Amino acid sequence: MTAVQPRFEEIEALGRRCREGDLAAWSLLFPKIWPVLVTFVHRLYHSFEQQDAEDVAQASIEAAIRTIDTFSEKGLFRAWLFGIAVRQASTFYRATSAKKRGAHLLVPLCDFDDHKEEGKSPAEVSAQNDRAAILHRAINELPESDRDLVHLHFFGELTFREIAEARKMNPKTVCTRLTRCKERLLVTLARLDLTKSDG
Amino acid sequence: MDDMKPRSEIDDALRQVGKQRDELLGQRPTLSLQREAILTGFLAREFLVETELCQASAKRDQLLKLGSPEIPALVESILHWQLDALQPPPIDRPPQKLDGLKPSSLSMQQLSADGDRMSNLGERLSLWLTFFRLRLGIVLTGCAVMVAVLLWLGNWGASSPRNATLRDAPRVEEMNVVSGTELFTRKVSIGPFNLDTNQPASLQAFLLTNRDVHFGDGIDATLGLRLDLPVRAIFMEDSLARTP
Repeated sequence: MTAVQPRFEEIEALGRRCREGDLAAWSLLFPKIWPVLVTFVHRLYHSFEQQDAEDVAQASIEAAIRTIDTFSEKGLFRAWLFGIAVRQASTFYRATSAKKRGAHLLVPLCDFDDHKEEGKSPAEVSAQNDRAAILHRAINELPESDRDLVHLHFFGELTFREIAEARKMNPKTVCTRLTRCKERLLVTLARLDLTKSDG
Repeated sequence: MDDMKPRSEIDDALRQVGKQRDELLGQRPTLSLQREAILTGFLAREFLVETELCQASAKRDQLLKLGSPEIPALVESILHWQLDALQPPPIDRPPQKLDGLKPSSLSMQQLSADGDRMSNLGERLSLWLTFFRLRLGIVLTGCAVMVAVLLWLGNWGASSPRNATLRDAPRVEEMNVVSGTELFTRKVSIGPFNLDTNQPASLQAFLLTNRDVHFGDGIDATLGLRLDLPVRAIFMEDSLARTP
């Protein structure tokens, strides 16, 4: 975390320079923000592959370039960009889901062939993936505003204060709403588990 | 406590999902050259004017050959002078309008080091500006201007072109005396005309009739003699002169 912190500070400084109209700062920002953004987007949806995450990250940066005037500089640049990425990812997810529903043969036959996990039995890997898939489904059932908070806090690793600054909310409100989100997730997980055991 | 346990479990579960997804991602993703080119192209399209300006600036910078990075001494002294002029005035009076024009003593010293000519110019300028900044100076200047205008107008009236023409022309009484001696056998003395423009009434028509005629034989009967003066021409000239 200590090694990551200076990189984040550098990103924030570059983001402010971009906001102030420094065109050269964008070129410096691209390679620094790219891994952070792709990693964040990849965490958002269980069905996303690296290529999808990169497409969404590229679309997010393009949207950020177009709307840099809306970045207030009071909050974190990362939080602002993650907010854009969440919306872009949601749009992308809906679009790809619709495609997959319409074309059955496009469903990948071997999802995990490219990422073999050593030291884990196939059953363990499968169970882990199932849990992750269930959690993602539960998150997707949350209201959009709550889902946004969960994404920023758990996948974007932003603190309550940072989310509050980005979303112009009180940090206590962020905390309270996240607590309620987790309660809802528990309920949803319980329901899904029951459904699974029934099935 | 029972309430806290499932919440911490869900926290762990969510963080675990993040880790799992990162593991699936494998290595730390890096921006490929192709993606970078796409993003740079998009940036250039979105900020078209700024990109063009940056490129033009870069080209100009390449053309610029800076021999020495130091600023010339004269330019530096002038900049110091302007900087001093921008500094706030002394505390004992409120800032005034022409304060920015007054050079300080320090800047004047710097200027004197650069050349006496510049320094003398600055000192003279300083004196004049000091004089004009005083109210008394402004009043005195106004009075001086008014007096100058009045004097000039007085001279103008005395030395008008028409008056000059009349002065240069042969005097009327002389002509009349000559003509009088030729026309009449009697000796006649005719009083002088007063054609000075300071007395414009003398140019009126009835006054141009010279009644001040004396004959040599002493018989000064009122003759009502109207001399052949160019009254019409004078009137025409006068009217033309008055036409705006």
